[in-house]
Amino acid sequence: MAIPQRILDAGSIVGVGESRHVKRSGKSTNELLIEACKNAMDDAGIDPKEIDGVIVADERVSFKPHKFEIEFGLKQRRFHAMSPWYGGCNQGWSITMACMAIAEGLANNVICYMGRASVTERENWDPRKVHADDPYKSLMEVPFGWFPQPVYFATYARRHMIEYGTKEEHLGKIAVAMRLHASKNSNAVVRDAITLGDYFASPYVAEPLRRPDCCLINDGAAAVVVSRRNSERDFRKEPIRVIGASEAHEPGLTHWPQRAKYTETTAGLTTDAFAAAGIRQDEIDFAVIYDCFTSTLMLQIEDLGFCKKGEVGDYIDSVGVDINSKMPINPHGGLLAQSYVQGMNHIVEAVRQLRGEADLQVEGANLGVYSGFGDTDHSTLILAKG
Amino acid sequence: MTTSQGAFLTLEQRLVKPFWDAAANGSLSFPRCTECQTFNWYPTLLCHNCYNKEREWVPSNGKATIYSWSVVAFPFLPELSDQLPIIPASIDVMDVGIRMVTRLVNVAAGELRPGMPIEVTFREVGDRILPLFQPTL
Repeated sequence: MAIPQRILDAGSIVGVGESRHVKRSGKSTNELLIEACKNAMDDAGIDPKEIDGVIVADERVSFKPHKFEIEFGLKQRRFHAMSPWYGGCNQGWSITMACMAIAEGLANNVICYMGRASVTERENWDPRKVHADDPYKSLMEVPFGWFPQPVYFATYARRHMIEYGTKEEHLGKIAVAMRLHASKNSNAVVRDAITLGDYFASPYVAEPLRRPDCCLINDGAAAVVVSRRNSERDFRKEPIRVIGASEAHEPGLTHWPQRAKYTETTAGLTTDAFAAAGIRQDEIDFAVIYDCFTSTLMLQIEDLGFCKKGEVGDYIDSVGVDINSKMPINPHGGLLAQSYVQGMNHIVEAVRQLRGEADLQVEGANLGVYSGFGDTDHSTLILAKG
Repeated sequence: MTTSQGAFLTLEQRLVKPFWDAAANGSLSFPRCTECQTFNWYPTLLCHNCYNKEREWVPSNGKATIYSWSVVAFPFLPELSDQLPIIPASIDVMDVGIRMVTRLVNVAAGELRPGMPIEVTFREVGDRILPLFQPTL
């Protein structure tokens, strides 16, 4: 369902910041987030004490709003929010939620953040944990070996191959593109590119997925500052705004295997973001798409309407997804090669692209889309300057 | 609620217990609302259709078709490492109209086809009886 334009019009993204993205930092999630938040506020040119709204884009994050306030010496908070889902929907949601708080007069400067010391704090952040902790999954799925994520997403990929003849090579081309992009990114976990030959030489993890098809698990954090648009003040950088957004939710995490069609994602229910923004898919200059697996990125290309259902194999072969293509996808390297910050790093990248300050800059980047996959929860943002 | 041994069961443990008890007795059974006859899967406290709490557990004839699968040689679950590779699968149990997950046995990976007819076979794995599935002979 599209987010009302009145809400989106109220806010601008004025600052973005990240921690260093490394495999193992030796730092806690809280420390990585403090760094990312400080960098975002410095990027915006605002004093931390001007922040009056704090949005945590994942309820598992230990750095809750009151900890932010204690750390930065805030004396008062006007707005806070935290989201329960897992995956990329939270991040798009946090930006539109920030806009809503501003639109309703509940805040003027909102910081949205996500971070996870997935390796240093492995016990808290083992990606399998959210699934193993789910009672239906632990009681009804784990006993059968239907666990963890690579297994589920392998079956989604296989179904697409069955129905449409998509090939492993198509997954491989996505993996190769992500590694190419990250190799040009000064802040990425994996800096060495691979060839399709390297891809096919990797053993299967859960057929048909191989290790390069699976996202990173690493330490990293990212933050975004959303401020009242058209306010009297100057910010350090050109503001970026969301000109169209949509969010959709289908029944619960527990029911993932029961999705009727594995070839379709909830992204398909958010294409009204384009109509709301008054733009067509072919006008988008770049996309940042949640890439927990190459196969999930692939499905979103179709479901967002960049090609017809079933034709993404042809799209990958003829249009391509890397920096040399008409619409580069994840110029930062994504979750697959840059960092597993569940899409907040994708929004940061989108802002940098639109400002013209990205490491691997898409020429003439004026319109971008964020596709925040969370399986049964999805958030899509169309971003532009201003 | 507690078991006869006095251990506390969570809501979800209580709701799924009849499935595993039935499996231990060689039956693949699913919960159907006594009011509106809707099958609720995974089992919920209230019928998701009419909010009734009462269920009857209906035995299935165990015939299903394959929807999708993966072949897994990686030891994600240490307790299954002596059985690798395993074939976790998503299947459609036809008489009750339920999509469930399971493992496929007595079949080579290369033989697998979507829509392949399969049937339940009960296997002891670890401390319980699991309803696994094999190609219909």
